[in-house]
Amino acid sequence: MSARGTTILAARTTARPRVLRALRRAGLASLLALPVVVSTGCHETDPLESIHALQSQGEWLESASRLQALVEASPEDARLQLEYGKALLAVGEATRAIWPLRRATEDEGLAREAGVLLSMALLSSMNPDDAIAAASRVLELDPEAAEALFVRSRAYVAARREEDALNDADRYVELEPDDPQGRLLQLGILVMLEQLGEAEEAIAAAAPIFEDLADSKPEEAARFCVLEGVFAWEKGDREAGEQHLEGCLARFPEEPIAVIETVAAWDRAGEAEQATTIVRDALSRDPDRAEYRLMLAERLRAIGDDDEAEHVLREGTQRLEGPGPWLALHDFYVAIDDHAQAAEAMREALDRMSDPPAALRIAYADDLLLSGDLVAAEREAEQLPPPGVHLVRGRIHLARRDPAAARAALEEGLRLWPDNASARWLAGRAAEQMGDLPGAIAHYRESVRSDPARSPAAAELAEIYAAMGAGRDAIEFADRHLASHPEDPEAAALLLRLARRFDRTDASTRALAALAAMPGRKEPLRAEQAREQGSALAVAGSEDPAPRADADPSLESALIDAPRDPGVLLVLARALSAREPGSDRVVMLARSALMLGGGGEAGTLLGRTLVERGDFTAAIPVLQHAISSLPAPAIAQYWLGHAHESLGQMDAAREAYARSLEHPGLSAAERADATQRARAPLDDSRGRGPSAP
Amino acid sequence: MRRPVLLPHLIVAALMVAAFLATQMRLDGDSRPRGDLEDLAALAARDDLNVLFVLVDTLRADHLGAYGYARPTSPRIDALAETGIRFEDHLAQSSWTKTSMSSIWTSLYPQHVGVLRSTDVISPEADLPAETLRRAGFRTVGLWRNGWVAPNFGFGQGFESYVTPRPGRPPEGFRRENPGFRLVGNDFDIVTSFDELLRTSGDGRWFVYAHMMDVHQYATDEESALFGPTYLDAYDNAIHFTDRAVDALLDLLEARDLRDRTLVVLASDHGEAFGEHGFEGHARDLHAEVTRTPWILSLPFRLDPGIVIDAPSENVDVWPTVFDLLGIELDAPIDGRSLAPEIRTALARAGGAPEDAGPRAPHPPRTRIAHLDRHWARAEVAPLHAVALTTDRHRLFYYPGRTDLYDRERDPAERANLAERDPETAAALRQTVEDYLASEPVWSGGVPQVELDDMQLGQLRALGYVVEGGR
Ligand SMILES: [Zn+2]
Repeated sequence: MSARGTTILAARTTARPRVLRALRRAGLASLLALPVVVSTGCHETDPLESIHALQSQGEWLESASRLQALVEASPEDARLQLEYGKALLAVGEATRAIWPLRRATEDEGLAREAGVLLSMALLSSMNPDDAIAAASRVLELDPEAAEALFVRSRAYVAARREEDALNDADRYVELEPDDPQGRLLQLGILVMLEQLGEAEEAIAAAAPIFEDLADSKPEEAARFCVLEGVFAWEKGDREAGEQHLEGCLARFPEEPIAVIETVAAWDRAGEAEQATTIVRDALSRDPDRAEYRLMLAERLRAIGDDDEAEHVLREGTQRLEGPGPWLALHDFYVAIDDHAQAAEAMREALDRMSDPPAALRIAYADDLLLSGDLVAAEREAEQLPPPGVHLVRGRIHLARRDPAAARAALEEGLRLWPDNASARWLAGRAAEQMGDLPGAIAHYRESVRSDPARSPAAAELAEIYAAMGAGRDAIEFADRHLASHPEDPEAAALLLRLARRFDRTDASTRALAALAAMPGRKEPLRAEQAREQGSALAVAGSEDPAPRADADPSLESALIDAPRDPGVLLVLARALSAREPGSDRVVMLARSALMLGGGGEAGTLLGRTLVERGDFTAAIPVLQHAISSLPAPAIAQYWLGHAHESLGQMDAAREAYARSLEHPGLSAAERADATQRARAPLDDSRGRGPSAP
Repeated sequence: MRRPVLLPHLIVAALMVAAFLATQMRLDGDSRPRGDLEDLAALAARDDLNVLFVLVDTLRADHLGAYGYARPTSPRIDALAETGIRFEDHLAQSSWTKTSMSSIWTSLYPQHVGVLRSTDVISPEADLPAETLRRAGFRTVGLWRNGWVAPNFGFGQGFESYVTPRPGRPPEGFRRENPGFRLVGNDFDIVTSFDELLRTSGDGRWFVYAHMMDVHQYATDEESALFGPTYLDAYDNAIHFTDRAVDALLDLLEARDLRDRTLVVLASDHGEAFGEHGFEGHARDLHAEVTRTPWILSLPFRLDPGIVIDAPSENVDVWPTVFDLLGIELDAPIDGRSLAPEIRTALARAGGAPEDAGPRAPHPPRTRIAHLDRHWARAEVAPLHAVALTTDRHRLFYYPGRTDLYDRERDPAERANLAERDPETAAALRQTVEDYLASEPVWSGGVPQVELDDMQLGQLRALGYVVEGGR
């Protein structure tokens, strides 16, 4: 992963991928879910009549099985093949529908109808190339066949041939100007092709059609509405976009798409709190909608407000029926490592199911075990069918310090459930406890192979290989552990530690980059000592404009002990900034410090670094935010002045320089510079002009 | 007084006979008549034959009972060999699906096809077997699940339908190597498509290519989870699972009385390593564990007993042999050759007519090639060729700046490198490889390139490719 790729300050990225994602969510996604349009035309033959009667009562499955028998007896009857294919499509058997429909296309009279359906069947079974070919054969027969154009356009999209897709979509819209699906398709392709001007025109042209759908098809109308708003926002007119989205929310309060897209837009703008407010409002309007509740709980957890998240989820269990809310609560408790509560929630969920799946019962036994109630866990385990019984039993044996029995049980379970990475990891632990290191290594390796994200097996291997002095293997597995646990600071700390031990600067760079890219989440800070060390160094760093070269290793070791301490991160960022101003590493560290609660200090350093990199537009909001949170933001003001000046925004620049002088904090040289710039008319020709949107 | 046990005893005996008959029917679910050399010769004139090409991805020969494996991984595939033709000394042309499959289809060595990297495409100039068979009046259908044989790499040439089936409901207790790999579905989805194809179009001649992926995916269900907890065990379980899927394909033929009208060809694109030479998986080197694959022909009639061809063969020989048996002439340049003469000789001998067969002569010496660009996944860097040259006596591994040489007979596991002890052989064989690498793809228009888009990369990632750069 390149360091640059990790930045979230996306001022310089093009709007395209974001618009695209939004459009995909808003419109295109619905187009790719194939609506099966099946006509039940009237035909003379008797068996077909009764079959059509079945179909008109919605008995598609029964009609398909009767048609199957008819086709079996007379495969040469193209009409039967067509009907059979239609019925299979209608029951969602797209791949099976391919074969009768293909056969039906061989009949001249049915080639067109069967060809369109065949193309749909191929497309919805994810075979776009064959779908294109099938629709093309229809269009050879009839170049005006609108349905074939529509299907082929979508197949071209799926085959990533957007230009061809647009041609077909344009022709389709010409032929069927009132079809909203055609409009959405055309629009989606224009955005993919980054023809934003044309897309804007297409939006304007389509607006009246969707206006009329507000009552009859509110979901489609809501999709279009948010699409308009997102489009305006991403084009740069944030205010208009914001207003439009608010309007969509007001017009379509019942449509989740309006909430989801508005929230996404605020998130993209970096205004997570505003986004959370919108979810909260949506939930209070519609407290029985589980998806809002889950969204809110997830957001609360992300900002570290576990108490409120728990409250929101628990309230869900009181308001909503069924096991779902209890399962959500269970997952929450597992995530915060409270297995006693998790077990209770799972018990409630299981009580609400008539025939609970074995996986949930295994999870329940596992929770009991992890909460320390081995007796209850064992009682549950004995009720489980294999492989659950073996796996839980194995874990219980392990907890009772009987590794040989544990290993035997786990291995028996693994035979039936070979891709259970956690069980493999446990088997490895059992082997290790038995003193069988090769056996342990084999199990850990297979756990990693199965799914490195599901267990700490890669970390165990890294430690084992490190203990054996096998640096290359140790680093390889520490790397894999980090890659599969990208949000775990301990994983980065492990790699960093081993990198230093085996003198691998490449690995320490990867560890630092990963650490810097971790999403911010306020956690109680650990390693008080390390923080003190960091603070001491921070003082040293702020006093010494060029910190000693050996500051880095000690800082890195502080980082190992306190990977989430913003103070430590900030000190390291400052030290690096003196040596490599404007580097990617400084940006990453400063940003992490900021996200972990480093406050205005971190914001100031990040903003300054962005100015040093020439990223003035990104620097301004960061510095403004820092200024608002610092009692004496002299340095932030000073660099804000530079940012405005470089963009040719002279009035703003002069004001910022003047403000920087209102507080202590600037060095003598900076003070002189700021005084000069605040007073003298700045040479406007120095400005670079606003960067392109 | 008659002893009262008699009647029950008779009942038990009757039940045993019935059970035996049922077993017979089950095991011998094979309505093909017995055949001989004459029937073989008559194949070329038959106009009612179908061809089912079962390609089991990632299948090592030495993990099949038919090739001497101790575990009962493959009873149905073994039965095909026992009543058909098995090629004992068979090799694949690469250890990476895309390169290997390109060679199977073109009967050319990888350097001559030019499909060695992720962006290479089989030239449209190639006349692939599906094109030949389509011209001959076969309905041509490809059923595939491996993204490396997707149509944008040129593998759809000649197929009227080239389809990856949408997944249906998995069997009870279905598991695969890594639940995170999103290659959903299983090989029974191919069976479902084959069933529907036969129902709706089985009345004409057809050629079906069924590319099975569940061994690659280490997929199994509880019924096939027979052999233990390790990944090597899981691989064997997956062979057993796939063996059942192959059996299901054959059952469909039986149910429609098509067994005696179908030539079944079973092969694989490469094997799988379990750390024998430091790697797990495939597409990293060319040692025996990843290049020794099975090749079995099951004719529209039973051979009793089946025959084993000892002459060296390789995947580029598969289609020349099949076409030779079917009486279809090929005029494209190929590296492979037909093994039909060896089959006829073996069959004549099995039929007790050694005078027709002539003396059992040693097969002519042959040099076989396997080739892998170890940088196949990295379009931005220069190729890193690995070539395995197999002669009757030796196996030479060519790498830039390094040569390994093994004695095939004494050291089939390829452990003792003889390159220093026998520098002359090593040098001579290395020169052969260098000449090979200096040759060009046969297409006048070069090797087309494709850009891998995100979606395709996603699909390949789902196979477990891309993620680690080496599988
Ligand atoms: Zn393969």
